[in-house]
Amino acid sequence: MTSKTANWEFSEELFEEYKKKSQIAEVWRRLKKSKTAMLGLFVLTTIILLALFADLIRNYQSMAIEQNIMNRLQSPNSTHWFGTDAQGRDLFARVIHGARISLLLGFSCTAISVFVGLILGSVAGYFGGKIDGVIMRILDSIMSIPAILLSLAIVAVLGQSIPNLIIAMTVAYVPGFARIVRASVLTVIGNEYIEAAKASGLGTFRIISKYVLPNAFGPIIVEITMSVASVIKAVAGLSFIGLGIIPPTPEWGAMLSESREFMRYNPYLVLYPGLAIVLTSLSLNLLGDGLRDALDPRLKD
Amino acid sequence: MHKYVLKRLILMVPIILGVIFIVFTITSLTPGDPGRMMLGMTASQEAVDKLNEELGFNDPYVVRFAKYLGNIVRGDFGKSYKNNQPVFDEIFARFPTTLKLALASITVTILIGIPLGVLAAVRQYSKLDMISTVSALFIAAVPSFWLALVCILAFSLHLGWFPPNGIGSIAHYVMPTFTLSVVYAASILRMTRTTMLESIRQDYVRTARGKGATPAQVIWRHALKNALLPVVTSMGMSFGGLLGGAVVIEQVFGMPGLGTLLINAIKMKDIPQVMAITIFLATLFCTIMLLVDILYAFIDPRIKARYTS
Repeated sequence: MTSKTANWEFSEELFEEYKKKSQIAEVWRRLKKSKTAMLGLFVLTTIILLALFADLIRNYQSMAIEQNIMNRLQSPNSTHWFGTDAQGRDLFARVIHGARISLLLGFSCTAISVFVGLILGSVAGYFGGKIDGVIMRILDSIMSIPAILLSLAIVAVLGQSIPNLIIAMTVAYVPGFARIVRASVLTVIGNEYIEAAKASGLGTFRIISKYVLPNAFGPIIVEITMSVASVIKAVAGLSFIGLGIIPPTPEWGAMLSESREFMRYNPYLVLYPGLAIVLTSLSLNLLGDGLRDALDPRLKD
Repeated sequence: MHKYVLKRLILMVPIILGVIFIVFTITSLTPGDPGRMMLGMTASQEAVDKLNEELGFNDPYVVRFAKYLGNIVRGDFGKSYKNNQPVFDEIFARFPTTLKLALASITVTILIGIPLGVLAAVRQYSKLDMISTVSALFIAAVPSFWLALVCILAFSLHLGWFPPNGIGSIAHYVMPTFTLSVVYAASILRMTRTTMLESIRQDYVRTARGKGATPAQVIWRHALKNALLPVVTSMGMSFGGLLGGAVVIEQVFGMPGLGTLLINAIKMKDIPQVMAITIFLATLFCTIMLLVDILYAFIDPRIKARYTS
């Protein structure tokens, strides 16, 4: 008897796994059809690879940090592909090492926001009532402070550092995710299979994580791509006004701020870091748009 | 209608309270020493301690929050650490600049975004549609402060058409308005296009066409009116983004608005000023959203009907 039960459970798991795989394969198949999404994915992958192998391509300490006044303000040439800045540092080295910081911040802030948003959103949606009311009112209040103002206030209070920047960004981005999760929870909460799961004595945590949250998967994936792009732009903006990443750390916004006074005769100084921001966020937006279409069951062919 | 407006107004109260609570909580995490900030580095430790005690900075969190709230109700947001003047003096002095910039930007956003969005939808897959959709997608990825730098480089430093900073004349507002609005115009364009594409396939549009309305009438009166609802909400949200974006853009163009005031206050750790600006802008944003909701009720007869009976 026991062996039979074990056997049955085993096959159910296999089935679940098969189903999950086929779903992902299906989304991938549909995503592949969108040329713009594939272009976005290609550009994004290139940027991620450049960021990952930045140390092998250009040495961080000697090329991106150390000043070399002899080489200052060289226009782009064969040794310095993007030219050099006012301190004689290689702009290409700084741009690819900057990709590292921007992507790291973009993905980590988004990951934490998703995690907190999942908890808050599912608790609010699942329990409803007063808990829902309190959580949603607080989130509404956070959302009525323009995101950049909120981040500025937090950075102002906690001081300028990368962990504080992550906190500042996360607080601003949690409400969006929590709302998406809550909405998805509310759409499934009345269904019979939730009732059945409750009746069969499953714990609340298990019900939420196994039966409720998978429904929020699609919209969250789309929001993640958009949010990474938006965090990268916001961090660049904060650094640009001198309240984000502090120079000489190579961050795109900080680089733009440093090169402002030299841009008249060296326009490449503002061109390349800016294009880096544009390309990164454009590729994420293209991918997000493609994913939205691929995940939308109404557009199924 | 009055009932609806009243209900929305009452709903705004907890949100504003929440904003004050959040801003207060964040700023109460400051490791800094307010007494030290006000008296400067040369003051004796006893004097600093005495001032902290007098101003109630040693009270428990809840007591301080209640006091702050009480003062706000009486219109007292505290004094700036910098010049010991009420914080709102400076805010009112700076606000007109920010308001002008924001109003000009939202106007340009609407004037570019909606007509182009409608045209793109009506001539779907035409050249105009392709160009405007692709450029909207591209512009959405451009950070406004970078666009501002590029504009200064091109139109001030090289062509000399517009002044690179200051607020003396209308010409000073051209580039800030453009750089701030173009991003939101792109998103309004995309949104208008999507909702228009849905709207022009509806039965009522076919009916309008069938009863002999001219194509222009069908599009601008029947289709657009129905497509506009989500766009109006999105415009309200954009206004919040605009207020935030203005902080950075003012900095780039050296405009003495609330944004530059805020950034200076942050750099000087002038906490009461930072709190007041943040609460002020958030309240402004809430008021805009309230107006949007009321406007919504005027456009959408379904909401109006629910409250007039």
